[in-house]
Amino acid sequence: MAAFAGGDDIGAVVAEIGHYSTKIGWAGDDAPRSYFPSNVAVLRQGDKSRRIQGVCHDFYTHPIQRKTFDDGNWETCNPIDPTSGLMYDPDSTQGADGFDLLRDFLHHGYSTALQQAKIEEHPFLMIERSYNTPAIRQQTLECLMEEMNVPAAFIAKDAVLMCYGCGRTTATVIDIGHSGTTVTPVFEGFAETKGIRRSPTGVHAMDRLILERLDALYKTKQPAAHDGIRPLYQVRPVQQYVDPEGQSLPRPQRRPSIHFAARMELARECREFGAGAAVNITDTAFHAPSKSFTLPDGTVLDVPSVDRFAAADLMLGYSPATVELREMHLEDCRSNLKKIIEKSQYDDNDDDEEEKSEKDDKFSEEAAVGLSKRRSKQPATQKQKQLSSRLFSNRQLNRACTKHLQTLLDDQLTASPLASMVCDAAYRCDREQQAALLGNVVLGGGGSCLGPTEQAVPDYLRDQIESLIHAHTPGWRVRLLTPSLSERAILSWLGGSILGSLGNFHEMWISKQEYEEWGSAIVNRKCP
Amino acid sequence: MSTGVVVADEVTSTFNAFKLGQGEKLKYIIYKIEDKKTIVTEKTGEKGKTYDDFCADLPDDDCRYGLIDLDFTTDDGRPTSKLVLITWNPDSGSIRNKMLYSGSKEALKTALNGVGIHINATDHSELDLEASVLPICRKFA
Repeated sequence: MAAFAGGDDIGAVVAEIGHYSTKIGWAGDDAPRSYFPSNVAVLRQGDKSRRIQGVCHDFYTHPIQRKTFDDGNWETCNPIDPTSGLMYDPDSTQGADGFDLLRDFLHHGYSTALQQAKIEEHPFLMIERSYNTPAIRQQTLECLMEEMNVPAAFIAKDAVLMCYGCGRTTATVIDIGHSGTTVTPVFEGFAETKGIRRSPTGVHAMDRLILERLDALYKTKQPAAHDGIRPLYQVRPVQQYVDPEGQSLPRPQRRPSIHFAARMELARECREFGAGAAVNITDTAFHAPSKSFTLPDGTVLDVPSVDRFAAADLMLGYSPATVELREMHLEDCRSNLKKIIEKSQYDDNDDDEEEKSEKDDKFSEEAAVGLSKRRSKQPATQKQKQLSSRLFSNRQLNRACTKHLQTLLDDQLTASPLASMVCDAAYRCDREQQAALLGNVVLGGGGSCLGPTEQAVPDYLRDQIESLIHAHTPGWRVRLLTPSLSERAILSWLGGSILGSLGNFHEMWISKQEYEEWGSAIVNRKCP
Repeated sequence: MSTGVVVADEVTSTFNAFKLGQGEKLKYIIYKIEDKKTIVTEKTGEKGKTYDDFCADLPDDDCRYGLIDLDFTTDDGRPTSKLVLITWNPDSGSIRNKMLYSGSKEALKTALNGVGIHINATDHSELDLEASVLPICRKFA
């Protein structure tokens, strides 16, 4: 059992690594102390090996290599794969980007915000997606226990934590995230996997739409600009780029992925500045004023109201143009997902002999139930040597995830507007659960922080859901719960913070001894 | 997913007495979580009290659990009385408390076995006897 006196004595650390941002902080706090974007610039070791050599967290405003300004080899990288939304890298057979970056992010978070805290001293609560596969969960636990040496760990589902954060044990949880929107029915504290709906229309899609509109507007003002709006690093004054001898250095040349990421930052600023949801987009669009948005190079763009509300309409709206756009995103996502699944199966055929010799498949069903004889890994000394050049074998992980990705493709991906997704998710659950599930709907995630007022989006959504339900069952009431705007984006982290600080929670942790005894499959038994 | 909060022994013994009608004649019992660790009895209401007294006993900005012996008539006209567990989780309470009480509900439910009707109330309108509570009771009775 866990060897800790209580949650209050030794603080636990709660971390959530999302597609957009990573939040790390102490359990019991009201906000994560370390909050930084997950999109980082990385330098890979070379063309052959994709191992990560260097990571830079702030590449929008400063050049990455301060001395030489040679940014040409850096590209963006994200621990979360945007198509599946999980910490999963289908391409690399040599190492998993996600887990390398996990290590780096944790160190970054600990050193910048949690002063003098050592990873080995504090229990670690990790927040995962509700549709996370058991294999990735096991891999994460392995990485935490063996590489980071945490004394105890627990992996909790974000949908359940969001639900608890609003004071319910049963609700349909809407998470408007960066890579996509997920609707999870949570019943009595357990996420009902058969009802999970996922749509690729999330904040990323909204930002892309805004970027297109901004580019179009920019072209009307500056017809000479071919690339559209220019991000911050391209418009810095020339005096900055002078080396010690006084020679002027060329402007940093960056790869397209970094350029794109920097432009998306601008789109994000614009969205946070003025986007909103309109109840009836055709009418209100004419009455709402346009807002002016200043670009880094000084141009002032007047964003008309139609464009302002277009972002939210992408998520919530029913008009044919919006539906078409969503279907397009869905098709993109579907084809990407198919490629990922094919790739994982291709790898499988490739190394059949090598894999057959591996008798104990650590991701198999037996391991998950505890029947497999596989125990934890090598003795300590060997581990130390291997630590520096550890490579995760991705093939087993890929194979184990294929089934879940296939379910994602067939069942869960959808392009419906948000209200339909909610009803869909609830109707897939048992009949007795439906009334309770639809009666409580929790809204959270970064994308739900749309204006213009705090309750605009919730009220609009609630009306939509009610009108959908009343077609079948006129009596059911819908309650939409959501915290204030400042807490919506970090609602799942807040739930985790509360869970990690509860007095008796220390019985639920997976301690190092348990991990040594049972292997990584214990996570599937202890973390629901 | 539970939170690890335990139920105090006196809760189980008082509940058994309440169920069988022995000992002190009670109409309702209100529980709270002490020190974020144990569920204990906060106050009780004697037989003479009414449902409105029970509602008045629930604080406006903090969460509680309430177990009440409710008398009502079923759909076919039979008078009956049932034990109802009400989780009082007002929206004005802190997120921490709401989460604590929601997560620990399971532990309390197992301790109070035999209670068939569970109600979640988030404001006084949901506590309204005629509008919200009784229809649910009638469905389960």
